[in-house]
Amino acid sequence: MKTNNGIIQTLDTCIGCSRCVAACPAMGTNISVQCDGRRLVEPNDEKCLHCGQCIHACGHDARVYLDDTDTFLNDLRAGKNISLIIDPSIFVLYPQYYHNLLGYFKDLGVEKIYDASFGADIYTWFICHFIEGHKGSGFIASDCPVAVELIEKYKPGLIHKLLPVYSPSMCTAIYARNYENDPREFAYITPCLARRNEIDACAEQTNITYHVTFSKLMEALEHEDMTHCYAEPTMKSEDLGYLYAICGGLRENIGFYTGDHARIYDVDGFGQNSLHERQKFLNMLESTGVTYKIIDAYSCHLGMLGSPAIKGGESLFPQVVQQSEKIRHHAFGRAGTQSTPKERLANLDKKFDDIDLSAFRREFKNQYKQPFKLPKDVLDAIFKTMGKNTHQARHVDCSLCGYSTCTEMARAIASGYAAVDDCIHFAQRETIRLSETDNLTGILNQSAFVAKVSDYLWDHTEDKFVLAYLDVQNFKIINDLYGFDAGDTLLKCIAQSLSDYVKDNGLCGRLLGDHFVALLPEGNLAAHDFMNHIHKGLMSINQKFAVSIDFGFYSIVNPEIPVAQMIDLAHIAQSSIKGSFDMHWAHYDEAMRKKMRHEAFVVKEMQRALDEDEFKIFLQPQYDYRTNKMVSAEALTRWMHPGHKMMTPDQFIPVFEKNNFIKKLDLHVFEKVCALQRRGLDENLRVIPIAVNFSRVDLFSRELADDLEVICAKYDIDKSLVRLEITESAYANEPEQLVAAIEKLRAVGFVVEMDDFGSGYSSLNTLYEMPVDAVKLDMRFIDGSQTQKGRFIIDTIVHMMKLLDIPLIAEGVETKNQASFLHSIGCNIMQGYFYARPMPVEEFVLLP
Amino acid sequence: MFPDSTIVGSSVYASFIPQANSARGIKIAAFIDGIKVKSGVIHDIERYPSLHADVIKEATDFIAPTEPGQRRVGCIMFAPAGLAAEEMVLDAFNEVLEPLHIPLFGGSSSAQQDVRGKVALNGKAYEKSAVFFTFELEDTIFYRYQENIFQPSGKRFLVTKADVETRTLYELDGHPAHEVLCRALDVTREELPRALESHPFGRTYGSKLFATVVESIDEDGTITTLSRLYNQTEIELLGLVDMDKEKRKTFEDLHKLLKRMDFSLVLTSDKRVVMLEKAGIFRENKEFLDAGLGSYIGATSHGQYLDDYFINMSLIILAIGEKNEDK
Repeated sequence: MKTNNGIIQTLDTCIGCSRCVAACPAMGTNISVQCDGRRLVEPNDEKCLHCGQCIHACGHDARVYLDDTDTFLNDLRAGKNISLIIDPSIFVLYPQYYHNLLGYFKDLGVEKIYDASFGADIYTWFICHFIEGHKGSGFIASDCPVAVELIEKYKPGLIHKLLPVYSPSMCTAIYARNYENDPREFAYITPCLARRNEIDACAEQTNITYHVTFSKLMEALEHEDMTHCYAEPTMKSEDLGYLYAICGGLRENIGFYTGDHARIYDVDGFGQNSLHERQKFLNMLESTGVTYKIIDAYSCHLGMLGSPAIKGGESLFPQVVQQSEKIRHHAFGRAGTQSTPKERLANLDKKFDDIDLSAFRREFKNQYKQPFKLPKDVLDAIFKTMGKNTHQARHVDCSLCGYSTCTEMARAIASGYAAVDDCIHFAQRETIRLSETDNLTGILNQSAFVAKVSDYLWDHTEDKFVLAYLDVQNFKIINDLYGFDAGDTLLKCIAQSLSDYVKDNGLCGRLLGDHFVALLPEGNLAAHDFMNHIHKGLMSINQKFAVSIDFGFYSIVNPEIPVAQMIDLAHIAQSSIKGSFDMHWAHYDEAMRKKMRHEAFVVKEMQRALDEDEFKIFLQPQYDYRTNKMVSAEALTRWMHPGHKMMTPDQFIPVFEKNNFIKKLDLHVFEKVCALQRRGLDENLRVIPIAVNFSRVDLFSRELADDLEVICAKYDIDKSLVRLEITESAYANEPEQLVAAIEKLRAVGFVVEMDDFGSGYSSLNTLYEMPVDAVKLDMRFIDGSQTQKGRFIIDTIVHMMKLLDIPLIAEGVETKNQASFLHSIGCNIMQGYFYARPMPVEEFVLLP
Repeated sequence: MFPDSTIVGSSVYASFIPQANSARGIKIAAFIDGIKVKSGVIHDIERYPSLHADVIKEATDFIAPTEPGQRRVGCIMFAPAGLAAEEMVLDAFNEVLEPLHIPLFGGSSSAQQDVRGKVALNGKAYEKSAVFFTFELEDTIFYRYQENIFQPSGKRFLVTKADVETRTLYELDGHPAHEVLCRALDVTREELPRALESHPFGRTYGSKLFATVVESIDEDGTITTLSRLYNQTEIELLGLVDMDKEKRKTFEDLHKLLKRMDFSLVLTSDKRVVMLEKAGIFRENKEFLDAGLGSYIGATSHGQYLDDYFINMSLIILAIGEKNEDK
């Protein structure tokens, strides 16, 4: 539907407050539209009655009306010969200004000025004869164009009750054209903005072209000096025609000529009725007709004084009363105080005896269009869209949207007159919902999930719940390989599956990235059922790539712990199986709790321990089987915590690797070894190479080689005395980066050994690619030396190392048989309990 | 020959009876006994048919009070298509019929392309009026059946801008409707009208699914539909079901309900007939009706009326016969 293209229009200052909707008596006139992201309410001229109530109601000066004032004045000033019809109200409202204004127009070249009070006498005359010849009652005056349009558009059953006569102004125009033979175009100066409709409706009967309203005209002529101008109208009423300018004018006129004032009922200000009240008013018109002969209905309060096209409006009331009294006095004076109504009417008949009454008979058009009934399902659907799911919610009826009931609002939404967010309650809920919703997936975001879980648990104290944590494996790779759209589709699919699963029995939300959480009732939770549901959902989107999700579950034992902590615990469970090929879910348990507490303890204590030198070096010697002499050693770290027993590396190294503290510790140990070697050199003790373990985390540090060189330089130690051991599993990921790091270390002179060969996912390829100086064979292979098959494998490895010219150190040698076997196959450097356990430095230096 | 008979007629795009192979020409069905009828005309249907609701009321004055779900009293109505008045007509009829528990069955009259449909009552043809008759069966009962050959496709949209009165659809999900539909159906703008022939819009009301046909797509992308779409309600693109299976179900259901079928009035969408003709299976479908219904008269209608609902692309049957007491 087209909006903002009629007489009444909306300006940019509109803020969409809906006051105009509430003030409007016609459903579907005010349309909520979005313009540049703003909400405006614009009028639909097709339904508009042009009563101007919205202009009054608007508190933002956003509703205006248009007329032809500018065109009229321009044409007049350009020399166009235009005749005028002046509404009598201008005489009532501004008696002094009236003659000056008329004089001004005369000076501008207007030859004929007809005061519509003259046509008002014809109007009265017509009605007097009409009611004389029609026995019925409840006729409705047709002077107010809003009343006429209201009936034509909304109550066609009353059309036959409208008095079939043109309004006083139109009667004047018809008379001027037909009986004064005035062929000019007319301008009609009026206090009524709705007269435009009437002008258009009577286009065939009159020559009126310009619709000029008082307030616009006064605005346009504000700076004109008219004091020297003066003119009388060409034609005007000599009777009570001027009284049509005020409310009750018809009653006074008809009473004057028929003596029956009592049977005419005045209704003013019906345009101020709301949509709901309008129907009541129309029904009232029907019912009051039983008693009253004529109902004189005006849309504006106090007749034309309430019109938006009058400047000053109701403040002019005292002046109007005074002027009206003068008019009455004058009319009664002319008619003679002793005259009877019958005689007055006879005089009027005589005055108009040469005119044909039928020329002033008006036909009304039935413009009614049956409003549609909204199917109940549609109403329900709209209420659901608005989140109004209860009887109470559907009957808030606050009217803030401009409609008197929620049902009326829903009807307006269905019709496209209003938008759902015109409902302040919906908008409020929607704002909250948006703040709680994850934009991509539509489920709860992290903060909302945390808040809602807390409330949910509070409301369900009798029930047990589980918190599930979901993480998509290799999601980054999916995004990289298949694009963000594919990634987003996957995330939406997971969210939808979660949402479908929890329904009303829990909650679900998305944390950051590919991490989701759900609160599920513990009783109903079968982990496999839940996980199957999610995986089934994934299959529905027909991914071209395999997707695997890791699940972590935490059974909520104490609902009063912070929700964030519950999420952490489920996350810990999920993290415990991260990277596993065969494990895809884990439940948080006591072991994890202990591990977590231990990790927390380690993290809390590590820096202090480093500062207070609690990390001690233990050295395990390496012997040459042939000479039975110690040829080198490996430095191992022990944490001598004052409150705990000695901690071995497996108790703290994994934690340090997670938080990168390992870098500090490894450098610390390296420096201690360098210091030890320095002391040995300084004291002329036996100095043999000592290997220091480095984590793979260290190797990603670009500064590692530089840092080690600085330490060596600090203690003036030859690099051959401090070897670097890197565990074989370190080579599994990102081998290219590791090769570069090792090459850099070797290039500056360090000896790099591959530790724990055979313990991890070793492959010959690793051996081939990694530029190491020596390999340490893992003790598990030595264990295998008890069997024929194991011995064969070790034999082959030793042989292979010889062929590759890579020195081999066997570690974990525990028995003489193992040592003999290794020697028999050509491996002579050995480390293990058979020779010596790791020992404190003080013991090590005393070794022979 | 029968000057006192009530004669109700409608122009159609095609009509069919078991004995005739041609879909064209006039088809007539006559009730000689076993039924009481009263007819009427509702004028001004494009503006305010409800203002003439008293005519409908008058046509029900011979009917004794009825209970909901009764199957002896009904109303059959035809109204010209092309006036965008179907829902208003429906409102006018249901205003009177609903409180009396009288079911409504009917269609908006279709015609050959570019010819406005007309309806007729007792020798007078009307272009802007609805003709109807209320009836009461004496010894038989009727069942009404709606056959739906569409099923939801899962592609759902929210109507965000539509002019309900003019049945114009501008936006779906906040975007120009034609663009949204092109993307959903993976077709170009030019291919869209054809694609929508077999993918009408679906509206779900409770357990019922109703189709809305796209009448035209303007150059600016504005879509005109054959029945109303309401703002802030969801629609779903429909796809065809297994038609043979659906048809078998239709007749199985009817035979379950009626022990003996005396006569059926079949109204089917003209667009559906065109679709079947294009697919070359119209004759096959008619033969299906011949075999399943026995004596019947069938006609195309632009849209179909079924109680509260104005629907498109459907086939509705009013079958009269003897009730299967088991059901």
